Amino acid sequence: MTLDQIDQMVRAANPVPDPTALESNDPAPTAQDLLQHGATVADLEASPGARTKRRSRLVAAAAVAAAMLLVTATVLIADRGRHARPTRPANPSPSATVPTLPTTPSTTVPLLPKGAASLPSTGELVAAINVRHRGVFRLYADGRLIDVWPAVEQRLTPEGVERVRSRFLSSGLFDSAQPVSEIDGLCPIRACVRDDDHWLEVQVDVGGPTFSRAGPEAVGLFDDLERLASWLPATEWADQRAKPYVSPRIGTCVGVFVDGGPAPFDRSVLLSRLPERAAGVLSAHERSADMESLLLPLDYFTGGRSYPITSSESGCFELTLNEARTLADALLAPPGGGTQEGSVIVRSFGRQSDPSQPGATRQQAAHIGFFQLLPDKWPFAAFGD
Amino acid sequence: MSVSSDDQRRFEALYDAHRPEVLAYCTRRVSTGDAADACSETFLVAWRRIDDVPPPPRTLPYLYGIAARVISNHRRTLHRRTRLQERLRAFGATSPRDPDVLNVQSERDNDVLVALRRLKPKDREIVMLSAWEDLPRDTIAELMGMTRAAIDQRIYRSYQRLARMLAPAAERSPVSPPITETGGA
Repeated sequence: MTLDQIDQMVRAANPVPDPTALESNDPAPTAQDLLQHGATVADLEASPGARTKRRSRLVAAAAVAAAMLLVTATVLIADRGRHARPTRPANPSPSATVPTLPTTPSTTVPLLPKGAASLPSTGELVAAINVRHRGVFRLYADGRLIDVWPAVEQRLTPEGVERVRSRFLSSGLFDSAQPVSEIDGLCPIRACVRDDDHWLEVQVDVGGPTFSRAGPEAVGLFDDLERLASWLPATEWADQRAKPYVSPRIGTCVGVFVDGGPAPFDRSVLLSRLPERAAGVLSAHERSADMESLLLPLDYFTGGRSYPITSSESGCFELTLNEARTLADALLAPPGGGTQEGSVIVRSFGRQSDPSQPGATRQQAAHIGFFQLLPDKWPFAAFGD
Repeated sequence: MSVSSDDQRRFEALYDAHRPEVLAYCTRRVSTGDAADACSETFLVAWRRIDDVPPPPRTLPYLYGIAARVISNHRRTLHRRTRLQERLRAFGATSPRDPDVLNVQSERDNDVLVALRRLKPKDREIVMLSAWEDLPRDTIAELMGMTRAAIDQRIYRSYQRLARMLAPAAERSPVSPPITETGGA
């Protein structure tokens, strides 16, 4: 097969050969629509709660940026020392510069939470609201009220749970909601509340990646949850302190990559190549179809690849926090051989023979990603900003 | 940000001229619904930087650069919604224009897409920019912050890899000479 043929095949596989065809099926918003949506960013950010959260996120982001800068500078200095190469002159005019594409982030983030796990290990959802770019509150029957950003929990008494649930119902948000017997527990860009033997669920937000278009009822309810201490009676708090929510269960996915691309997942082969202690943790568990359906479509351990990994290319397990800590320690501590790259552990297996090509070898590695789970097992990572 | 009517007119012209290409760029990389969001976000960024948007022929590559960053920055959010779309698909709620559906319309195309997925991310992006966005290699080099020679080499090696992945074992013969550039924006 010639490379010209390959080129033709790649061009033929273009999922959108004719950009104008997209428009005929999907009426495009106008430039005016877009600018109008953009204006709602300011509207939303005008609320005090949003400002407070935004400020704290900016502080956190600044800290992360400073750390990244330090790491990057260190790496660059070290790299320059090793490979002296001529530098290209900087382009003097930003207006003439085409923005370069992003590279894989190299930040080091905590893989697993510290501290004692939040108990009980599972919980039944009572109500939830998710407003883009503001946050997610989830209320559980056992009294836990979890603010998913930045993963803190407070605890209410049963009376407190009931009062907050009533606040959801009286917010006006659910006035036109039709009762349903089951909900998508994630409640993405939605709010939901249990009402007797059924659920009420509504969409609260139809914004975009940088803006929200949540209505006043949703914003009002969210504001009330942010300042719960101002209206919930003291007797209805079991523990008013906001403590870090430490997931007792950790969704753990392992993908195998060959020459940098995803490869078929073979559990027995994987276990035979991992350090004994790490293999011991994973071999005690069956693959979890639930975890795979929840976690695999998330772009977690793929280092910024454009496509989700499938269940044939990776396996997911539901571990306790202690098991996950053991697994991470077994891989990262000498002689585990693993390194943390972003939010995953990468364990290289070196060059291995390729059964499909006798005599050929391929660079192989396992990527292990950890996902904190909420009491009803939804992963934190599912709740984007 | 102070908004002049000139800026607004310029933005409207930019949007009308390039939205289809930017939407297509996004649709080739994420699901249809996410692509619409990413496209809107790309133009919102362009609006905020309207004074920085270069004139043609550099306008579109500039927008692709922004779109790539938008997709990268919001990947987690986008994939969360991709997952939801996949669940909807399980209930039969599939958009006929969904790229995943388009992908499987041809077995051969699907093989190519799977092979593309196995390229390194940067190599894949270069190949896609060349073959799908039809950008000249000099422009790709600028966009990727690399030299033209490096782009040629990356495409050559990527196509070699694709050839190995796509050709039956019996046909794996010595690789033909590098292809010549076939098109440009």
